[in-house]
Amino acid sequence: MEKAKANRRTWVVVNYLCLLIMNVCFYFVFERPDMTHVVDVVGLAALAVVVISFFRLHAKTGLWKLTHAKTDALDERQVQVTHTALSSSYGWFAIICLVIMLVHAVLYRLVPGLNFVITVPLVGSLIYLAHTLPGSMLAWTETEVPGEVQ
Amino acid sequence: MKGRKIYNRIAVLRQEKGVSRRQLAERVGVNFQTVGYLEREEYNPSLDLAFRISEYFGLPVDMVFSVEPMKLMSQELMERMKK
Repeated sequence: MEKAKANRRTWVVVNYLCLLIMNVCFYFVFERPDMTHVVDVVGLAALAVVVISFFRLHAKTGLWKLTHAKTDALDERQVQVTHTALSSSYGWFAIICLVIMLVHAVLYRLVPGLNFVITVPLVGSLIYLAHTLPGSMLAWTETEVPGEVQ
Repeated sequence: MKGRKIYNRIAVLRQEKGVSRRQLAERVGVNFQTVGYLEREEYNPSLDLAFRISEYFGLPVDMVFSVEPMKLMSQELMERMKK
Protein backbone atom coordinates (compact mmCIF):
# COMPACT_ATOMS: atom_id res chain seq x y z
CA MET A 1 0.00 0.00 0.00
CA GLU A 2 2.84 2.37 0.92
CA LYS A 3 4.60 1.44 -2.33
CA ALA A 4 1.48 2.34 -4.31
CA LYS A 5 1.30 5.68 -2.49
CA ALA A 6 4.97 6.40 -3.20
CA ASN A 7 4.36 5.50 -6.85
CA ARG A 8 1.43 7.89 -7.02
CA ARG A 9 3.49 10.67 -5.45
CA THR A 10 6.21 10.14 -8.05
CA TRP A 11 3.63 10.47 -10.84
CA VAL A 12 2.29 13.70 -9.29
CA VAL A 13 5.80 15.20 -9.23
CA VAL A 14 6.55 14.01 -12.79
CA ASN A 15 3.20 15.34 -14.05
CA TYR A 16 3.55 18.86 -12.66
CA LEU A 17 7.28 19.11 -13.31
CA CYS A 18 6.70 18.30 -16.99
CA LEU A 19 3.81 20.78 -17.07
CA LEU A 20 6.20 23.46 -15.86
CA ILE A 21 8.91 22.47 -18.36
CA MET A 22 6.33 22.44 -21.15
CA ASN A 23 5.17 25.97 -20.28
CA VAL A 24 8.70 27.36 -20.16
CA CYS A 25 9.55 25.73 -23.52
CA PHE A 26 6.33 26.83 -25.21
CA TYR A 27 6.82 30.36 -23.94
CA PHE A 28 10.11 30.52 -25.85
CA VAL A 29 8.61 28.74 -28.86
CA PHE A 30 5.86 31.36 -29.17
CA GLU A 31 7.75 34.46 -28.05
CA ARG A 32 11.24 33.76 -29.39
CA PRO A 33 10.81 32.04 -32.77
CA ASP A 34 14.53 32.54 -33.47
CA MET A 35 15.46 30.03 -30.77
CA THR A 36 16.75 26.55 -31.52
CA HIS A 37 14.26 23.79 -32.36
CA VAL A 38 15.54 21.79 -29.40
CA VAL A 39 13.13 23.84 -27.30
CA ASP A 40 10.20 22.72 -29.50
CA VAL A 41 11.21 19.09 -29.10
CA VAL A 42 11.67 19.38 -25.32
CA GLY A 43 8.30 21.14 -25.03
CA LEU A 44 6.54 18.44 -27.04
CA ALA A 45 8.31 15.68 -25.09
CA ALA A 46 7.20 17.31 -21.81
CA LEU A 47 3.63 17.52 -23.16
CA ALA A 48 3.75 13.82 -24.04
CA VAL A 49 4.91 12.98 -20.49
CA VAL A 50 2.11 15.16 -19.06
CA VAL A 51 -0.46 13.23 -21.11
CA ILE A 52 1.00 9.83 -20.19
CA SER A 53 1.28 10.68 -16.49
CA PHE A 54 -2.27 12.08 -16.54
CA PHE A 55 -3.63 8.76 -17.80
CA ARG A 56 -1.49 6.83 -15.35
CA LEU A 57 -2.33 8.99 -12.35
CA HIS A 58 -5.85 10.29 -12.90
CA ALA A 59 -7.64 8.16 -15.51
CA LYS A 60 -6.34 4.69 -14.64
CA THR A 61 -6.69 5.10 -10.87
CA GLY A 62 -10.22 6.52 -11.06
CA LEU A 63 -9.18 9.74 -9.31
CA TRP A 64 -10.60 11.83 -12.15
CA LYS A 65 -13.99 10.13 -11.78
CA LEU A 66 -13.87 10.47 -8.01
CA THR A 67 -13.18 14.21 -8.02
CA HIS A 68 -15.67 14.89 -10.81
CA ALA A 69 -18.49 12.67 -9.52
CA LYS A 70 -21.79 14.00 -8.21
CA THR A 71 -22.11 13.88 -4.43
CA ASP A 72 -25.02 11.42 -4.69
CA ALA A 73 -22.74 8.88 -6.34
CA LEU A 74 -20.25 8.91 -3.47
CA ASP A 75 -20.33 7.44 0.01
CA GLU A 76 -19.76 9.48 3.16
CA ARG A 77 -15.96 8.95 3.31
CA GLN A 78 -15.56 9.78 -0.37
CA VAL A 79 -17.63 12.94 0.07
CA GLN A 80 -15.44 13.91 3.03
CA VAL A 81 -12.10 13.34 1.27
CA THR A 82 -13.15 14.94 -2.02
CA HIS A 83 -14.54 17.95 -0.17
CA THR A 84 -11.24 18.37 1.72
CA ALA A 85 -9.22 17.95 -1.48
CA LEU A 86 -11.42 20.39 -3.42
CA SER A 87 -11.30 23.08 -0.77
CA SER A 88 -7.50 22.83 -0.32
CA SER A 89 -6.93 22.80 -4.05
CA TYR A 90 -8.97 25.98 -4.47
CA GLY A 91 -6.56 27.65 -2.04
CA TRP A 92 -3.48 26.26 -3.78
CA PHE A 93 -4.83 27.19 -7.19
CA ALA A 94 -5.35 30.79 -6.07
CA ILE A 95 -1.79 30.90 -4.68
CA ILE A 96 -0.34 29.47 -7.92
CA CYS A 97 -2.24 32.05 -10.03
CA LEU A 98 -1.06 34.89 -7.80
CA VAL A 99 2.56 33.65 -7.92
CA ILE A 100 2.42 33.50 -11.74
CA MET A 101 1.09 37.07 -11.86
CA LEU A 102 3.70 38.25 -9.35
CA VAL A 103 6.57 36.58 -11.26
CA HIS A 104 5.31 38.16 -14.48
CA ALA A 105 5.06 41.58 -12.87
CA VAL A 106 8.50 41.39 -11.24
CA LEU A 107 10.33 39.99 -14.28
CA TYR A 108 8.61 42.49 -16.58
CA ARG A 109 10.30 45.26 -14.59
CA LEU A 110 13.63 43.49 -14.03
CA VAL A 111 14.31 42.12 -17.51
CA PRO A 112 14.07 44.81 -20.19
CA GLY A 113 12.70 43.64 -23.51
CA LEU A 114 11.04 40.59 -22.07
CA ASN A 115 7.47 40.48 -23.32
CA PHE A 116 5.25 38.60 -20.93
CA VAL A 117 1.99 37.43 -22.33
CA ILE A 118 -0.60 34.96 -21.17
CA THR A 119 0.02 32.22 -23.71
CA VAL A 120 -2.49 29.56 -24.79
CA PRO A 121 -0.41 26.76 -23.19
CA LEU A 122 -0.38 28.70 -19.91
CA VAL A 123 -4.16 29.10 -19.92
CA GLY A 124 -4.55 25.45 -20.89
CA SER A 125 -2.20 24.44 -18.09
CA LEU A 126 -4.16 26.47 -15.55
CA ILE A 127 -7.40 24.79 -16.64
CA TYR A 128 -5.66 21.42 -16.43
CA LEU A 129 -4.30 22.32 -13.00
CA ALA A 130 -7.72 23.39 -11.71
CA HIS A 131 -9.16 20.03 -12.75
CA THR A 132 -6.33 17.78 -11.61
CA LEU A 133 -5.20 19.44 -8.38
CA PRO A 134 -7.90 17.80 -6.18
CA GLY A 135 -7.09 14.37 -7.66
CA SER A 136 -3.37 14.93 -7.17
CA MET A 137 -3.98 15.85 -3.55
CA LEU A 138 -5.89 12.61 -3.04
CA ALA A 139 -3.13 10.67 -4.82
CA TRP A 140 -0.64 12.28 -2.44
CA THR A 141 -2.51 11.69 0.81
CA GLU A 142 -4.83 8.68 0.45
CA THR A 143 -3.81 5.14 1.38
CA GLU A 144 -6.05 3.63 -1.31
CA VAL A 145 -7.50 5.14 -4.46
CA PRO A 146 -10.45 3.71 -6.45
CA GLY A 147 -8.37 2.00 -9.16
CA GLU A 148 -6.12 0.14 -6.76
CA VAL A 149 -7.94 -3.08 -5.99
CA GLN A 150 -6.69 -4.62 -2.74
CA MET B 1 -11.78 19.59 14.07
CA LYS B 2 -10.15 16.24 14.59
CA GLY B 3 -12.33 13.80 16.51
CA ARG B 4 -11.37 10.90 18.70
CA LYS B 5 -10.20 7.70 17.12
CA ILE B 6 -12.96 5.10 16.90
CA TYR B 7 -11.85 1.50 17.28
CA ASN B 8 -13.88 -1.35 15.80
CA ARG B 9 -14.16 -5.11 15.29
CA ILE B 10 -15.29 -5.01 11.68
CA ALA B 11 -12.36 -7.07 10.33
CA VAL B 12 -12.86 -9.88 12.89
CA LEU B 13 -16.64 -9.93 12.51
CA ARG B 14 -16.43 -9.88 8.73
CA GLN B 15 -14.00 -12.80 8.68
CA GLU B 16 -16.15 -14.75 11.14
CA LYS B 17 -19.16 -14.20 8.91
CA GLY B 18 -17.10 -15.16 5.85
CA VAL B 19 -17.96 -12.15 3.75
CA SER B 20 -15.64 -10.11 1.58
CA ARG B 21 -15.11 -6.38 1.88
CA ARG B 22 -17.09 -5.89 -1.31
CA GLN B 23 -20.05 -7.90 0.01
CA LEU B 24 -20.10 -6.00 3.29
CA ALA B 25 -19.74 -2.70 1.43
CA GLU B 26 -22.70 -3.54 -0.82
CA ARG B 27 -24.84 -4.48 2.17
CA VAL B 28 -24.14 -1.28 4.10
CA GLY B 29 -24.14 0.97 1.03
CA VAL B 30 -20.55 2.22 0.86
CA ASN B 31 -17.56 1.81 -1.43
CA PHE B 32 -15.52 -1.33 -0.66
CA GLN B 33 -12.45 0.80 0.01
CA THR B 34 -14.34 2.58 2.76
CA VAL B 35 -14.63 -0.81 4.50
CA GLY B 36 -10.83 -1.08 4.24
CA TYR B 37 -10.41 2.36 5.79
CA LEU B 38 -12.83 1.42 8.58
CA GLU B 39 -11.02 -1.86 9.28
CA ARG B 40 -7.67 -0.09 9.48
CA GLU B 41 -9.33 2.49 11.76
CA GLU B 42 -8.28 5.28 9.44
CA TYR B 43 -11.81 6.59 9.14
CA ASN B 44 -14.48 7.29 11.76
CA PRO B 45 -17.92 6.33 10.45
CA SER B 46 -21.01 8.47 10.81
CA LEU B 47 -23.55 7.35 13.40
CA ASP B 48 -25.83 6.15 10.61
CA LEU B 49 -23.10 3.99 9.05
CA ALA B 50 -22.07 2.64 12.46
CA PHE B 51 -25.68 1.53 13.05
CA ARG B 52 -25.95 -0.01 9.58
CA ILE B 53 -22.77 -2.03 10.15
CA SER B 54 -23.87 -3.13 13.62
CA GLU B 55 -27.29 -4.13 12.29
CA TYR B 56 -25.63 -6.17 9.56
CA PHE B 57 -23.65 -8.13 12.15
CA GLY B 58 -26.67 -8.33 14.46
CA LEU B 59 -24.82 -6.80 17.37
CA PRO B 60 -25.31 -3.71 19.51
CA VAL B 61 -23.30 -0.76 18.24
CA ASP B 62 -21.05 -0.70 21.32
CA MET B 63 -19.95 -4.28 20.59
CA VAL B 64 -18.69 -3.24 17.17
CA PHE B 65 -17.38 0.27 17.84
CA SER B 66 -15.59 1.78 20.81
CA VAL B 67 -13.58 4.84 21.73
CA GLU B 68 -11.13 2.59 23.57
CA PRO B 69 -9.00 -0.15 22.02
CA MET B 70 -11.11 -3.27 21.53
CA LYS B 71 -10.65 -6.22 23.86
CA LEU B 72 -11.19 -9.80 22.79
CA MET B 73 -14.88 -10.45 22.21
CA SER B 74 -14.89 -13.33 24.73
CA GLN B 75 -13.23 -11.17 27.36
CA GLU B 76 -15.78 -8.41 26.87
CA LEU B 77 -18.72 -10.83 27.06
CA MET B 78 -17.33 -12.28 30.30
CA GLU B 79 -17.02 -8.80 31.79
CA ARG B 80 -20.59 -7.96 30.75
CA MET B 81 -21.89 -11.17 32.30
CA LYS B 82 -20.17 -10.33 35.58
CA LYS B 83 -21.86 -6.91 35.74
